[in-house]
Amino acid sequence: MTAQMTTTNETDRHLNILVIEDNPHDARLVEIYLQELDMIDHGLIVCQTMGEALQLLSQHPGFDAIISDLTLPDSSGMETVETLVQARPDQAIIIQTGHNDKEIGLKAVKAGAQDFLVKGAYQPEDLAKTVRYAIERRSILDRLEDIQRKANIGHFELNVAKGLITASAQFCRMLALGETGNSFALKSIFHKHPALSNAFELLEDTNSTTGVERDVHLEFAEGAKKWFALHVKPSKDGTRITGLLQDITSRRETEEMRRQNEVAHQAAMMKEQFIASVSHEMRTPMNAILGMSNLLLDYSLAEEQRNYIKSIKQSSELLLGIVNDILTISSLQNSAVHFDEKPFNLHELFANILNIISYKVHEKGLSFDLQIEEDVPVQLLGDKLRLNQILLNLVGNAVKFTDEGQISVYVYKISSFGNEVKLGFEVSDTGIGIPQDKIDAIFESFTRVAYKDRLFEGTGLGLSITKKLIEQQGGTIKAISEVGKGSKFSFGLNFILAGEEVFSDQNDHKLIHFDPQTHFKILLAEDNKLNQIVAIKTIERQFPNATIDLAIHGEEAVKKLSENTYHIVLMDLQMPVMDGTEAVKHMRDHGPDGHRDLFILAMTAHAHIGEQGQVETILMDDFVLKPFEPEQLYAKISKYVQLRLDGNKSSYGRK
Amino acid sequence: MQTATLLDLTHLRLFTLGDADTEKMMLNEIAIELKSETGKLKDMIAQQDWLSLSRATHKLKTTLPFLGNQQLIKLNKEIEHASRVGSGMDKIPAWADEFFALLPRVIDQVDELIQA
Repeated sequence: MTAQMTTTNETDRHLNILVIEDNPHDARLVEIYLQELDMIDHGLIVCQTMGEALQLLSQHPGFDAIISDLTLPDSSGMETVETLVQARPDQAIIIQTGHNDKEIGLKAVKAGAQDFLVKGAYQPEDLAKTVRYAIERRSILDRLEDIQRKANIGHFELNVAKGLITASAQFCRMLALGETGNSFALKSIFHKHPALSNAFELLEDTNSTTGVERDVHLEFAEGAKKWFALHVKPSKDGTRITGLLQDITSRRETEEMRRQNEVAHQAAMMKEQFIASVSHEMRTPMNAILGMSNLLLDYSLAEEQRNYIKSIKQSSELLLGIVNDILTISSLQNSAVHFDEKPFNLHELFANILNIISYKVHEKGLSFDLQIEEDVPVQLLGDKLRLNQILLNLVGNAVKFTDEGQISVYVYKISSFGNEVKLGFEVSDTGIGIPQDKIDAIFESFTRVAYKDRLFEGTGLGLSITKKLIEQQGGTIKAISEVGKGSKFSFGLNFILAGEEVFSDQNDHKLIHFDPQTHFKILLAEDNKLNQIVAIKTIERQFPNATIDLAIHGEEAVKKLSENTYHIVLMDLQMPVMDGTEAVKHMRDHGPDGHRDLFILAMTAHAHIGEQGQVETILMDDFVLKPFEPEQLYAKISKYVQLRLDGNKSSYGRK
Repeated sequence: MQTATLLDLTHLRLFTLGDADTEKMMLNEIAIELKSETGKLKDMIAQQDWLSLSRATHKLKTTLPFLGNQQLIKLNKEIEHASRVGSGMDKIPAWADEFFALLPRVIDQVDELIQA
């Protein structure tokens, strides 16, 4: 190789230029022109043959521009251009032609050269401009290639008459036609990708002037398939078709996944709706079975018959529980559960929970520890029923999975800001525990824990419901556990601090431990049939061993009290014949020691009963404001029956 | 065309806990009470018997929450308060008109549930 190099330092950017020229005079002329230009700081290498140039190009990191004669000893015409483009498609190529080769110069540009110069017809400035422009065009093309590579878009142009496609490198890469942008026979591409021909045929069919777009699915080696968006548009004279091809495989796959997810989601929704509908329909016959079982149990039955009926009843209750769980989870999944923001007393809520679970706790010989930190506010605004449901589920589980030891509930304040407070709740047990690999799964629907071949009863929906109830109120639940040692479930929930005024209808709430299985006797004075049903049903459900005597007006209540002993009286105020106020006055005035051993609770819709001194004025101990919720009634009955059993006396007249 | 429900039985179901029989029994009692009170209430308003009206609406304060129609509850509360304290009584006829326009529709839906 005969190569020589000169350098100048006259411009702001150093350019490496390769001159391929077998005529030393022409090569020298280029060198002189470049040296004359102040604007180009360059390094120049001259090769006399294509062979030399290719060898150099294979070793050299790259030139900013290649200025090549069209006719060389070992290459001529378009072959020279194609060889150079093939060898270094990333570099600016300028072709030098003779006076008679202008047409070839234009062809060279079409074939991938950036520009051409006609020998003897250009001045140094022309050379400088051509070099600069060629480099700039190459740089723009590089950037375009880079963008095309990143966007997975390739472009092409089809010479309709010749059936030749000139395409960008990315187009070639995407269709696996080779790494370089080049010209291909259209037929050879169709042969490789027959599906592409359909898009072009469509273009012919529609005679479109605006172009045709369609997605094509092409198959590659080893069965790989890819989706492409093809856009082809004819030129106005119809001699050329330009087009863009974009690899949209990822997008199509994402769309397909989304579609499949949507289908799966719809199917799951339909399944849930079906289950919810069936469950809903099952409740009526289930209630009938339960009701009939209860009626049958009132009859005189043989022991065996009674046991059968009890089994039917227990199974029905279990099934009804499952149905109710399914309906709850369905509502939660559809975000159809509304969360209340009503005032409640935290101690009262726990009193109710203790009442409900105390029987099971005692039956299993467990101990129960409730610790509420002193700085935990007692009067809150929030969804008491849902909190109750969450805690009952966790405590119920703790009891179910613990055969010996202790159940602990701990309540503490996590944070407070303004009138908002975040409380933490922990429910711990010394039960069977949960294996580490099952901890996350326990919150999934229909997950049930088996321990030593013992499968515990339940739907496997409880914790799933609990988790959703907490999360839909903005909280989180965590579980830690060790097999054989126990589990701890903790969660946090936000509440609003309730001012004293919202509890104006409530009396002081002391945490009373009361066994709901306790035998006691209530006198209910109520004239309204509906209110009678509500009160009796509510009391019977919570206190199965309570005996309820009904008086339909005050006079009958006075008579019944004179003939019987009661632990508590629930007295409606507005009744015919004799109203509640008058009846109580009569009881207090005429009863032995004013019936001071008897707690009497007013049942009224008069909100002002909660005002200071109102209850005492009418010689009663407390009140239940109508319309009440079951737990409010439970709490009041539990409190006063337990006070009575503990030997306390009514405080009427002493306040 | 399906009629929008005027009932929200959330409060009632706190007591029935899904027991369909108890639910029907309670709805039946509510329907009887409301039907029997409608005529009485109208007479009380016509005769401007405010004491009886305050007592009757006071009773309904316990009954209406079981049906959960907030408009009915609100109107009843307004009438009860006005007739009890004797202020804003000029508004009672308008409240009553709205109350009696809504009440039969609510009762119809209760009857439908009872018969379902």
